[in-house]
Amino acid sequence: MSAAEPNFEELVNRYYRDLYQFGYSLTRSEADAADLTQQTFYIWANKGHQLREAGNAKRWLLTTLHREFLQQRRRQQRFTDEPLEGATEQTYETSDISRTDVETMLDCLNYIHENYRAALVLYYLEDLAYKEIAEVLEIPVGTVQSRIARGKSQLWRLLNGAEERKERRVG
Amino acid sequence: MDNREAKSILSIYRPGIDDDDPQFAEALAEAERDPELRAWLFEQGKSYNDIRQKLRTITVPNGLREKIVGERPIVFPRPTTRLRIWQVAAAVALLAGISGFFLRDLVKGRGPFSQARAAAGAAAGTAEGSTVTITGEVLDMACYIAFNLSGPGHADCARTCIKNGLPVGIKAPDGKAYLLIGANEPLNNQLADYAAKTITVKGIIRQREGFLMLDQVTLEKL
Repeated sequence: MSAAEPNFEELVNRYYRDLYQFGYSLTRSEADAADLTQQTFYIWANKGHQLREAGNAKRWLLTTLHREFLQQRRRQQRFTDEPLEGATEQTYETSDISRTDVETMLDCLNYIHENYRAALVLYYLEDLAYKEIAEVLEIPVGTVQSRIARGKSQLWRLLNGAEERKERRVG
Repeated sequence: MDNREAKSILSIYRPGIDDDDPQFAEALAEAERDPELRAWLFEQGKSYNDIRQKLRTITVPNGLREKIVGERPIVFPRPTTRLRIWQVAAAVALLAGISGFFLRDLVKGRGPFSQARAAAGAAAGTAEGSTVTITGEVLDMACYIAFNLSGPGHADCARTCIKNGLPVGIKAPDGKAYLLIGANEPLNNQLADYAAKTITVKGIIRQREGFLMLDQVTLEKL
């Protein structure tokens, strides 16, 4: 083990929470998110030494988790490339989501096509520049930005709808 | 740049993260001039932070970290030098030549090989079964024998290997490595945290066909 290679336990301590939150936001399943997180570190233990720049470890881990997620989806044969209706339409309204709880938010995120969802979750959760998000998702920067803009627009519409439904139920 | 164009650009702007990204500079300057745009941008930033904070409250299941660390696969590093076929062939030829030279003397009952064998036999006779105290480095025997890995640079890997039950040993100052066995029990749990560190142990020397072991080991100084 070379001196430049990050210590495994230290790496787990530093990033397992971020990876789990990313995985959970993608899958909406505790078991799947935990499996994805563990599988990602397992792959690191086997292949991490191939990474020359230790500073890129987090991006490498996020990329690997996302790849594993996509593979898992393909295996489950639930993969679809159909974006949600209205995905190309952009709106710039704001939304009062301060009252929305995290479960409602995750439910809404789950309705968004996974291509948009992955970009959106990284946009919200991680302090990554757009270029870095593009590297994680292995797509061009322009595509990242349009996916985020459209995904965000969809999310807000879904959140507003969820709040309205909740208010109707209460009323 | 009009208001709508500025909103289009700023719709993905994250306060504090994208401040230095030049693609937002002009639209941000426009927001400085336009109060309505500024108010809209403020609300955008607030919503961004609300969602971000909420996603960050996703709780991680208890024990996940321990599970990941505990079930880490043990990976033996591969030697980085790739031997070419002709290098291997040359090494085999050289070894065969040297062996032939010593075997010739051995058959005749003379020469350095037979003398060394006699000396080793004498040493073994005195060492086998005797109780000795050895001060040396705690080794993960698997990595040491397979890849000659030891020392502080390998401490982390050695600790993991020992913790996971691979054989633990000690390297004496004369360079000999001994497998360490306690009184009918493994010493892995006691020694994992001392991987690559110097300790003192006491035990009975056992050896078979060149393989050395310290039996009934007691830990004298950690």
